[in-house]
Parts: sequence; structure tokens; C-alpha cells
Amino acid sequence: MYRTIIIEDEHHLREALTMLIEIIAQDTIQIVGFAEDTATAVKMIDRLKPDLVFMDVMLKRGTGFDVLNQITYKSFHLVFTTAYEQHAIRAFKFNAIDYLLKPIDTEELKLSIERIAQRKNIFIQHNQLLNLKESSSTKPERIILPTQEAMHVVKLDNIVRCETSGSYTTFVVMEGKNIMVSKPLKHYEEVLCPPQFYRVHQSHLINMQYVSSYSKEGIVYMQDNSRIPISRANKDGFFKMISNEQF
Amino acid sequence: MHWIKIMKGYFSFLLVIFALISRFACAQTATPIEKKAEHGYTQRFIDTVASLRLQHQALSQAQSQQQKADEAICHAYLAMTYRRMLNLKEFSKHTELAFAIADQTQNQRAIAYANWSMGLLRSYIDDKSGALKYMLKAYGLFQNLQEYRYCAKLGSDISYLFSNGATAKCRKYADEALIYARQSNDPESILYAHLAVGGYLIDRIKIGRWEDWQYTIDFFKQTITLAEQAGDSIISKSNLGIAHMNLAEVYMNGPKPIDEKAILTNLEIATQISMKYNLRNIYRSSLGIRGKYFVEKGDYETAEKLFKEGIAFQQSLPYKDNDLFVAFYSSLKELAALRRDFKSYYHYDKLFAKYNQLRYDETIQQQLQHTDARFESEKRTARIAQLEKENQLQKKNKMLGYGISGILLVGLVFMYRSYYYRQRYYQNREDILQQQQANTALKVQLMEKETLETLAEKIALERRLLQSQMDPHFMFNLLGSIQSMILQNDRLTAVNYLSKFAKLTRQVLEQSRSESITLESEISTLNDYMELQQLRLNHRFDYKINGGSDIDLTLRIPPLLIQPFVENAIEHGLKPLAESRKGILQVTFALDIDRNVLICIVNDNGVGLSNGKITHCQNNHQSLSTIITKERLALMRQQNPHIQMEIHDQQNLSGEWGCTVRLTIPLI
Repeated sequence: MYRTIIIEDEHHLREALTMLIEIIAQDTIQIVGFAEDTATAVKMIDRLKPDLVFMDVMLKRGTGFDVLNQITYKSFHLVFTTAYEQHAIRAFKFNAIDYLLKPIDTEELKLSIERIAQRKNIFIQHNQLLNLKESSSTKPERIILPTQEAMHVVKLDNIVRCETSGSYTTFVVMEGKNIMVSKPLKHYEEVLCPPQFYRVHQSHLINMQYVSSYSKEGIVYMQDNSRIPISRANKDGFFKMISNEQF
Repeated sequence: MHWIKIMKGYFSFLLVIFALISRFACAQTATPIEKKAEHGYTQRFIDTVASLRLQHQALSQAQSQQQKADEAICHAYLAMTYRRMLNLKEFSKHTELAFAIADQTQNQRAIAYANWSMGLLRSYIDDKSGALKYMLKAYGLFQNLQEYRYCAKLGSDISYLFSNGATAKCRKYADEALIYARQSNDPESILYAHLAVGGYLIDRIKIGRWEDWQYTIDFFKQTITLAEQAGDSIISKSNLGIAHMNLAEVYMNGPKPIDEKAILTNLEIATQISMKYNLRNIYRSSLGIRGKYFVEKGDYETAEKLFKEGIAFQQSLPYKDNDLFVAFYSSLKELAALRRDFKSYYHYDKLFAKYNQLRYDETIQQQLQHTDARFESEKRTARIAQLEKENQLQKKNKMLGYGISGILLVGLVFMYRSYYYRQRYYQNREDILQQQQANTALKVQLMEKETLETLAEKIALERRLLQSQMDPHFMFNLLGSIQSMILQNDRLTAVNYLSKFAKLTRQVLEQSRSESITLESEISTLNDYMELQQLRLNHRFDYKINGGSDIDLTLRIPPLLIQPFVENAIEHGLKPLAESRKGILQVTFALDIDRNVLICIVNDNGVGLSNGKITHCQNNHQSLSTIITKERLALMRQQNPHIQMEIHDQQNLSGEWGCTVRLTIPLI
């Protein structure tokens, strides 16, 4: 059983989340508290020491990030909930933090809880939080890639390319082992975006800095000696980008 | 001086053809076949038939033994032999064969020979720079092979090639040749190198370096002594004759009084040598020089006798040398003029003109022939290089093709260039005209520009307006609220709000596309919006729209101007309000007909501006829609100066703080 706190300033949304949890995860989640504003949320987390926190981004008098900065107890699983805050979503993706979009989808909620169950460490990683605030406002330099065994902090400049197979994405990293993450490529396409990155193919996202050569027929040769096909639909875009780049 | 020129022509020609006595030389590298070919070559002065036979034997021997290097060397010797026989066709044929075969073998010795022969060919057809290139290559190769005899000869030849102009180089190579010749200890080479050194010494005297005169005399005397000591080991007897003639020339050019006896003695010896060894050109030249000498001295009769003897001798020969005839007749002509014998002068002049014409034709022909040979030779050399590059594939006409296409290309480039420049000139002129027109047009444009800019600004703003009006945050949160009602089985309310949400979405979409909307639809939209917000925030606030009943609802105003301020009031004023206090939102309309404006006041009893700002920066949408509304109002103000917006905190009667926005909206 996860002792859970829901931090949400809108009454109906809180109700909706509570009821959804009751329907799909009655056996695993026990809701122990609600909070509407940052001050209450901080106090509650530190006092109740929950296993899991659902946290809204926009709160009464402050944000979910403010809460995270103020708490002292941090050994819980964290799932953000958000209606639209795009900058926040970017930040979550960069720092491998779980999030749910409102209105909440039952399937997404289920998956989220399953992921939590699989995870060994229940701590929010220090570096995750450190990056979070920064990456919600400015362009981040690092991304956190979660795998079963660890959280990998990778510099964007070191990512050569990403390749997907089904719901997994493999990151080819310069001077390092390949990292396989159980997220589809689409998840990362929005954060690894042009001009540094470009999705040349349904299964391939490349870092433009590591292009060593390319043929007009639509093949990119990367510095890791791989040959990446460019799909027809992306050809024009790719050539435009490569010709705009200042070497 | 004409005699000396002619003599020098032959002299340099003869010097190049030289016998090679190889007994003492690098036995370890010269093969028996090479020695045989060389032996054949040495026979060329004595018996050309035997010389060629021996060399061809050596060649077929090399071919049958498949000794490619020797084959190339044999061809080179044959080439040099044919050179002596003035057979340009065979000369160039063998040179090219030697060059091609040597190139295949990569044998240094063969390549050296081939380059030597090629250099001689180039020199023969007046391609001086080509000659130098090949000879210098051969010179370097023979140096490496320590074949000093050949170094001496090549050095001398190179020195001759430099003789017109590059005095320093001429001297350098002649001196080097002499050193190599002494090292080789071969009398033939020594004599050859001596003549080369003598050549530049004579040139120095001619330009007035008198201090070298005595040294030059001594040097030639020494040359002659050395040659006489060597005796029969010198095959090329003509060089001995040349040495004597050169000495005579030096005396002739010497300081006055001229040592007449020495001149005559040396010329006499030269004549004797030429008669003894059947050296026609030496004989002729010595006659000529002697004739000149007597002319100078005033002994016209002896001079005439000598000239006529020269002509007779030349006519007895199987081939005609028009050059020589021209020289002799010109001398006779001068002589006749000096003697004032105009009858003879006329006679000699006719003959002179005849041979001069013949010589001229011959020169032209020769030049054509040389040009042709040079072209052929260059073509073939190029082909050899080409063959080597392409692994000796048969691409015979490629270079020619390249040449033609190159010429065509150059032609095209020139055509294009002239076309381009002309075009540019017209273009420039046109540009100036256009510029003038443009300037006039610009003034008109500037006037239009201001209105255009306003229009563009307006269009851009409309687009952004559409993007920003429906706050996604509000939309998704509202959907979340409806989800919650469904979950709680409050179906009627859920359906009610869902249809309200649909209505609002439709209204906003429609209005953002319209230029203006009625006040009625604006009030309806605000009403729906506030009702939905009420639901979302669980009825934490009440709202009221005042003044609508007194005003004509068909008045038209710009769309979506008020909604952002209502949204602001709810999100930043009322939402953060503590649970204990009930929020109140009022929207009041009033008409100002005089100014043609509608006044709208949005008033709340929320936390106020100063407190509300805390969360301001966290909602981009909010600030964006406010900014856009401000811009829109500013744009409208250009047409109606009364348009404005005021925002301020205020305290109401019951002492509660709140925020009031006062908008003055144009009526359309």
C-alpha cells in the first residue's frame, strides 16, 4: 500500500483523481491527505511522510516546484499532474519525472502506478530536483534517462542519436554505453528538438552535430559509423537544416 | 661575323654528336649490348652504313633477349646517329621509342639515355625549354650513375642552350662539364668540355672583357695541345678543327695590331684537318673566315678567290646549302661594292637574291617541319604519360581530344566573358534607370506604407488573438471538472456543463474570426465563461453583469476584449482568496455616446494586484493575453484617442480590497 497525498487546488479535479484511484488502484493506494496550497502541502509531506505524492503544478499561492524546494522529507514517489503547462512538461521529460495530463486518463494512471511498483528506489533523485527548476525556464543542457538500474544524467551535446524499437528508445551516447529507456521516441521528440536534433525517420532522431556526411539519396552517416535512413517526408526538412547550419 | 654565326651553328650541332669510348667507364652497369651499340655509334664518322648495321644488331639482340633497358639505350644511340645524318623522321622515331620503353622499365640508365636523346630532339626542333628540361633530367641521372663522360657532354650541351642570355648558367654548366670531363679522363669529353668553356670565354670577349683575352688564347692553345696529344683516340676530328677556328677568331677579335700570322696558321690547320678527314663544313667555314680576313685587309682578289672556291666546293657537294650560298654571295656583293665593280655587284646581287629566296622558302619549310615534329613529339610524350597513368590502356586520341576540348573551352570562356561583360554593362545602365524610377516610386510607397503597416500589424494581432483567447489551462481543467462530475454520477450537471463548454468554445472560435460582435453576444460569452469558471472553482465566487438592460444590445464592439480581464480577475484575484471569504465579480457596462465609446468596468474583491502578482509569472498564457489586449487597444487608440485601459487596486465600502479594470472600448 502506498500512502498517498494529493496536492491539487481545484476541488473537482481532486475529487476526480481520488475517485479514479479508488476505481483502479484501491488495493495499492491509500489516500492519506489533500493539500490546496504550497504551505499546507509542505507541512503535510514532512509530517505524514507519504510513499507517493500527486502534485499539481499550479497551486494556490505558488507552484508544485516551490513545494519540492521547501520539503525536507523526500523519500517518496512523485507524479505531477498538469492541465497544460508546456514548460513544466518539458522539464518533466528532461528529468524523467512522471506526470499525468488532466483530465486524467485511466490507462495513463494505471501505467504510472505500475511503473512506480517496478521501481527500486523511491527517492526523488537529488539531481532531478536540481535540474527541474532550471529546465522549466531555460534551455537545459542535460537530460535524465531512467532505466531499471539507474538514472543516467546525459549532456545533450553527447547524445549522438536515438533509435526506437516499439515502446523502447535507445540512446547512442558519445564515449559511453548505449542507454535503453522504456519510452517511445515520440516522448523525446518534443524535448530533443531542432535545431540541435532532428527526427529524420520514424525510428531515428539524430543530433545534427554528429552528422559526418550524407548522400542525396537520403542516408546520413553519423560519427558513430552508423548509417541512418532519411524518410521521404523528412528529406526536405533535413537538407534545409543542414544547409542552414553554420560550420 | 656571319661566318662565325654559321660556323657556330654547325659547331654546336657537331659538338653534340660525339663518339663514346667506353673502355674505362663504369663497366659494372654498361651491358655488352650497350657496349656494342656504343661501338656502332663511334663508327658514325667513318662509315655510317657499318655504324647503323652494328647498332641495329645490338637492338635486335636486346629485343630477342627481352632486355628492355638495353633496347631503350639502343634506340637512343640510333636516334643520335640519325641526328648526325640529319634524318629528323628516324631521329624522332627512335627517340620516342627509347623514351616509351625506358619509361616502362624504370631503369635509371635507360631513362637517362632516353631523356638525353629527347633533349637533343627538342634542341634540334628549336624547343629550347623542352630541351633543357630533358637534358637536365638526363644530367642528374648520369651524375647519380657516375657516368662522368656523359655528364661532361650534357653539361656542355646545357651550357650551349644557356649561351643566349643566361651567362651565369652558361658558365656554371660549362665549368661543371670540364670538371666531369677531367674526372672521366676521356680525351674526347675533355675536348668537348674545353670547347664549351671556350664558347663562353669567346662570348665574354665579344662583350668587351679584354682582360680575359690572353687567358682565352692560352686556354685554346692548351685545348689544342691536349687534343693533339690524345691523337687518334679522338674520333670527332671536327672538334679539333673547330678549336683552331675558334683560336683564329679570338686572334681576330684581339687587340690591335692583330697577330695575322697566328690567324692564318690556325685557319690553315683547320683547312688541312677538314680536307684530311673530309669535314666539309669546317672546310667551308675556314674558307669563309679567311675570305673575310682578306677583305678586312684590303686584299680583295685573294678574298674573291677564296669565296669563289667556297661556292665551287659547295656546288660540288651532293646537297645544296642555301644558307652558305647566301653568305658567300653576300660577301662577294660587298666585295664588289668595295671595288666599285657595279657589273659584278649586279651579277652577285641577282644570285644572292635567288639563294636568299630559296633559303627563305627552305627556312619556312623547315620551321613547319620542326613545328610538326615538335607537336608530334609533345603529343607522344604526353601519351606516354597518359598510358602509364591508365595502366597502358589504349586511349590514343584522348590527349588530342582534351586539347581540342580545351581550346573549345577556352574559346567558350572568352565568348562567355565578353558576353557577360557586355551584358553587365547594359545591366548597369538599366539599373541606373531603374534606380531613378524606383526613387520616384519610393516616395509614393512611403506614403502608402504607414497605412499598410497598420494593416499588417492588425492582421498579425488577430492571428495571435485567436491563438491566445481560449486558455488551454482553463479548458483542460474544466474538462477535468466535468470528468469529476461524471465519476460522481452527477450526470445532469455534467451534461449541462459540457454543453455550456461546447457553446463557449464555439462562440470564441466564431468571434475571433469576426471584425466586430454585438454587445449581446459579448455579454452571453462572458456569462457562459464566468459560469464555467464558477463550476471549476466550486462556486467560490458570485458574479454579476450590470447595465446591460439600459443599453442597446445591438451595438457592435471588437470581439474578445473583456474576457482576458475577467480571466485575470478570477485566476489572480479570486482563486487565491481564502475559503472563508466569498468572492464577487462584477462586470458593468456604460455608454458614452458623445465619445462613441462603451465603458466596461471589471471589478473583483479578490487579493488585489499587489498580492495577485505572486503567481503572475507562472502563467504565461495570462500575461500573453493581457499583452495582446493592450496592443489591440493601443492600435484602436490611433483611430479614437479616448480608448484606454486603467487598472488599480481599490477598497470597497465594507473595507475589502480588490482590483478594478476600466476599459474604454470603441463602438464600431
